[in-house]
Amino acid sequence: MNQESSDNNPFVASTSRRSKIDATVQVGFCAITYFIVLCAVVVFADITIKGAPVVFPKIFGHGGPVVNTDLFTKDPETLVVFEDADADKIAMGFGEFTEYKAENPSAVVNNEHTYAFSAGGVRGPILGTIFLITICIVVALFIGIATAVYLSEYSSKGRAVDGIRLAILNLAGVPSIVFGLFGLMFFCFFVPVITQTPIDRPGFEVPPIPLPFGYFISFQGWGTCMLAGGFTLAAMILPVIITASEESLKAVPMGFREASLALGATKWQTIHKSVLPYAYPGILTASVLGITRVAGETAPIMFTAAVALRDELPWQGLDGSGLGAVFDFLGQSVQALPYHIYTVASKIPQTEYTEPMQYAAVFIFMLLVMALAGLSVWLRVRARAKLKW
Amino acid sequence: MTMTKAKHSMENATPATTSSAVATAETSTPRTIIQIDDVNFSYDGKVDVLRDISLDIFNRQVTAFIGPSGCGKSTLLRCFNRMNDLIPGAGVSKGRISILDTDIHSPKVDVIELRKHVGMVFQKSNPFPKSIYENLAYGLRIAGERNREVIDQVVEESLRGAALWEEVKDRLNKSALGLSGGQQQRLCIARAIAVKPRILLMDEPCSALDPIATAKVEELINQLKEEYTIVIVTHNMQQATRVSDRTAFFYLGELIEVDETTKLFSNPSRTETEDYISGRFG
Amino acid sequence: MKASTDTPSTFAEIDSSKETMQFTSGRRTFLGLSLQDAIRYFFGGNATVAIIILVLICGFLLHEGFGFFPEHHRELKRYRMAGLEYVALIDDEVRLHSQAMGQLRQAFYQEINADSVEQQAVVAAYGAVKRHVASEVESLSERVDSFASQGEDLEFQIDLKRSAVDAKKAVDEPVPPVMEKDLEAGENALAGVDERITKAKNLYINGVRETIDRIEMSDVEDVPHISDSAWDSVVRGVGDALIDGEKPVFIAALEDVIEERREAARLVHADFEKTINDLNAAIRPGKKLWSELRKDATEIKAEAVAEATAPERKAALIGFAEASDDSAEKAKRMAEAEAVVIAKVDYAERTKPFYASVAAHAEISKQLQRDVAAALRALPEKATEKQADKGLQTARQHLVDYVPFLEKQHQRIADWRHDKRYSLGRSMMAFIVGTEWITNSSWQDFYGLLPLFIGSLLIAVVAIVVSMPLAVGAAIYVNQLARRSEQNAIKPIIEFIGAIPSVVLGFFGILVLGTTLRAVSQVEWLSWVPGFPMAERLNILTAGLLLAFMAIPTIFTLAEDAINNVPAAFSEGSLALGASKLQTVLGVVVPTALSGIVAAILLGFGRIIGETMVVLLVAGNKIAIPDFTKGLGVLTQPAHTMTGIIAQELGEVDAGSLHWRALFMVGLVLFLISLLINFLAQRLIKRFQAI
Repeated sequence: MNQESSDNNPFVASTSRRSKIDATVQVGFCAITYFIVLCAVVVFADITIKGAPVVFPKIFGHGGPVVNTDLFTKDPETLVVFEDADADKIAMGFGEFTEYKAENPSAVVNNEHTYAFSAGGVRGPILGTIFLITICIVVALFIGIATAVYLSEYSSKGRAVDGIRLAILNLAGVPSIVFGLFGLMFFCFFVPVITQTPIDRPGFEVPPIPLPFGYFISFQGWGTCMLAGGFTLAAMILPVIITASEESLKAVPMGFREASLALGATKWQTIHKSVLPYAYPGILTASVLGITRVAGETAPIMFTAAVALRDELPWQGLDGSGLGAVFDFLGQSVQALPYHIYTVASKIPQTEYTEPMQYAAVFIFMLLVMALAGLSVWLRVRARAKLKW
Repeated sequence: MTMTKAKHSMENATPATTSSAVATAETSTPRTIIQIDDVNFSYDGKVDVLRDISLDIFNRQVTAFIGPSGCGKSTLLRCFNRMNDLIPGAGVSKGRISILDTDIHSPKVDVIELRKHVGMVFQKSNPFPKSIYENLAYGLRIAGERNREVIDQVVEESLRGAALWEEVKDRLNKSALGLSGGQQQRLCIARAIAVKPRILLMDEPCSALDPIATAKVEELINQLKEEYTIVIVTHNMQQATRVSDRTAFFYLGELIEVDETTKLFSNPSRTETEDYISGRFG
Repeated sequence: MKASTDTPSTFAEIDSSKETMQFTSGRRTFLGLSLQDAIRYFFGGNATVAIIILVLICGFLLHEGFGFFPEHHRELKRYRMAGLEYVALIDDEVRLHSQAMGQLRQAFYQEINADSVEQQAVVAAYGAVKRHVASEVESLSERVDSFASQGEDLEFQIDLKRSAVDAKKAVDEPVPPVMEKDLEAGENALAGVDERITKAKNLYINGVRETIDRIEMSDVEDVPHISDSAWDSVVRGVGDALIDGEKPVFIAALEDVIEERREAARLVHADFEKTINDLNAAIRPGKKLWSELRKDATEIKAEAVAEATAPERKAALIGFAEASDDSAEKAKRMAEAEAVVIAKVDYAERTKPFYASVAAHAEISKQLQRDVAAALRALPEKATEKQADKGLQTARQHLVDYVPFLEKQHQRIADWRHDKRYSLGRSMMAFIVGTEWITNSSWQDFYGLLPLFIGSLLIAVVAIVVSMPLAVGAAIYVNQLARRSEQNAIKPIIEFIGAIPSVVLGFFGILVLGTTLRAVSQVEWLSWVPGFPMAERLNILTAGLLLAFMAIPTIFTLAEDAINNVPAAFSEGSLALGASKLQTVLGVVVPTALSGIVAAILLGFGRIIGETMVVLLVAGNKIAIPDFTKGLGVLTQPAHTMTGIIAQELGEVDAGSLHWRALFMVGLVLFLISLLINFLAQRLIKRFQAI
């Protein structure tokens, strides 16, 4: 371009205030976004920096094992802090402390303090959370996928379907504590009463559902237990799973169904062989991500499943054997990580002695949740690699 | 030099005065307003969808681009106001396009200023979900116009210019989405001319309209060429003969032939053109 | 359709045995349902689970919640019948009086202390620092003492032995070698003890010094603000005092000065003090009356409760008796049941003392009004100290209002009737707009929703005001302005925030955010911010900020979706007119997506108001309507919330009790709010989709 014509350039940038404002506003938006990212990083970093060294002492140069296995093999215990003859502060779990005193009767114990839940490990809460999530996944996936299949494959437009959709939409907005109230009333109070045996409420009871080998399904004695908690969590996550599953089903091309039906397959054969297999990866991915959210919920399990402290693991000291023991196991109350964290955060003073265990519990909990989120990412990647149309 | 002066007074000048400044410059502008010089275009940097296009578009004429689907006529049109910049990786890979003797890809060219001079009407009418008035006023407002009276005046002028004023003058504050398809498209034309561009690009403006609405838009195009340079992409050869002064025929990314419309349709010099206009393919 | 035999068709070959071709299915049926239908109904049945859950939630909340109103009504009626209401009227008088007294006293002491404020601050700082350092080095001093006493013991023993040796030497008796060795060992031990005492002392001194070096004004609780130089000398003084065991001279001197000035001021303000004392005495008859009647009212209430529950107890005992197999047991239970008498409380008779006291109260009220008027005349017009004057003027205003209040209150007391109708509507209002939530009280429980509702609302408003610009701004940036690589990095991070469990955020709030915010609020040049410095670490602001962080992914994802769904034609149209990217985004894209964005914000709001764990851990859990007179400073006060109260109290109340039902009512309110928000959001989304 020669000099003359560039002088004539009718499209020179107008170096007005406007472009400066534009740039400033854009930087403002950018700053807002990165501020959010920064907040997220601060939260993650704080928990990791203070939690990870407790869980992985060796990696962070604190000596000791690579993984602090005590955390995963011991239950929460009271921590005793005292000073010995040389004024050195010593902290040990209550069990260890009892032994120490028995071995050294003459030992000097000055300035003794105790902190509940601050020693030992978090085995019970971890296991409880895993049980709750498992029950929740099984129940929610079963009902959720079935609902989605109905909505996307069977239903025609009508008031019933509108009602179902409306219910799902509204269910999604119900506060978690209200689900807690529902779970408590329904699974812990109502259901055990209406299935009471021996029957003392004639006219209004659900008979025990017979199973082979002389067993019965009865809701009797549910009370505060992991089944009630799992079902409550499942009720809460249901809308997410239904929506996700329906979207995945809708994403399966119509042609797959038409081709199958044209070959003379029945509706169910079509769904079973030509729709669900292609929708499963999407369903699982979205559902696992949704379950990440309920895994962290505390309010619904506060009244329905969780207890602060349990001496035994849920499978210890069960009544009956075989299937009976399984039901008894499912009827146990459990410790759960989120409830454990709530208890320590609200009721135990935060000091240099209690913080490591608290942060360790939080860090492990975050790892668990992140593992679920990671699982959903992995499922998505695998599904994308496998299925393409 | 006149242009530069006009730009300096931009800050407090209305678009109307800007365009009159442009108009004074017009006397000195050549007949050729868009100069396409050996242009290749590619969407991904590998395959060229347009090859070796050279074409001049003349001032205050209607130029029609015709050709079968996928021949690159819309792509070329979107090069003129650099709408293709929005597609990542796409760009002119060879040659140059000059408008008013200025290379539009030169770093000195501000794409926003370019688009103020080169208006565009899209295949599917796309009025903003605002009132009719606000649709028209939008272009003025983004150009910095604050004076309500000036805006009122330009809105009316543009609507009259687009032969829409009589139909909508009583419901300027109603949503533009309530208009019929043809009205919406004419509204989009009015919106484009409200900022007084030199050139108006039309990308198959009538493809979604019924015959009556099409006739109205075509009539409008015939009026508009008094003031504007119009480039129109069309599938409809009758439309090209009805509205355009010159026609360019594209086929498979190449410019096959360009000539006076009457000549191209009555006496094409290339066999591909003849095959196409006689309906043997496409 | 018949397949002819001589023209064999494919169908006919397949179905040759039947000869006829059937399109009707020959599938088995079960209970009149074909398998396909059964499968269909199975899926349909599952689909209704969502409806069933919603209906059950609704049903349980209504069942438990609506039972609340009649019972609450009975409870409030009893409150009136038993005369508790009457006593509460007198209580109001006493309470308001003591409020005014408190203000006056405070003003008085401010006046008295005015001349020695700085000195007092230094002395108070000295006390605070000393307590702080002492608690840090407490065990060290114990150890020094214990070693010292060990040393003294040893020295005494050695002395004993030494005198024994000397005595033996004096009588020329040979000293046994054992004794000499003992003596030597003892002296060595003493040297050891000395060494340990020195070590312990050094430890102690170092401990004090270290603490002194480390200590900052913000480490010490309740330390008044004093100048930096005063702070330095206080800290050094504390160090010396703890090491040498003596009070620093300058502190002693300050104390003398304070005493002197206070005495002088007291003399000057003797009238003021006397007025206060007189006024204080004036309420005594009222208080006496109040405490007498209070006892009566509590008794009547206990009887009324017994009356109300007697039939139930009787029925339960009879039930026990019938269920029991043992005849002796049966007889015993029956006897117990017989013994339960349903004693009707004669309210007219029992409330006589209240009516009788009206005359007495008239006297007391008149006298009190005169006393207050007299006090108003006797009180100084103005206080010299600014702060004291402010307090004095408030108290004066308070007292001026108090006189007509007493007049009116007496009218109310005279008009009070135990059998006046208490309408159901009024008891409902007592829940909906009741300002007190008091439970497990020995006097009377109140279930007023307002403090919880306002707490929830304030926190949610803070959260939405903070999160809205952040989340929507980020959504605009990520969807419209960011580069693709940025998009891919930022979106998962923000969505990841949504996966952080709320209890973890609550934990973070207690340990990090609350502490940090309070530390920031104590920075001096920020003291102009309303509510700063914060008195509580856990308050509305802290909870609001955490919830804002929590709501960001919800709002961000939905708003980003809404922006993403704006047809590209709109932005192309705008760009083709010569609009810049930003003009296009703000002028066309965002306005088009607006209703979607508003719906996103609404759903975010719903999420915030329904959130439990964060507010339970971080909001401070103080059940009271925050003090709005402090302007924006209201945000730094602790509060309790609707969600929090359910989580906190439900585990500890009896199923079916009034308190339990009240909590379900709160749950019902929450549920209705969530439905309302959902409804509004859906309407907005529909409008958005119409574009």
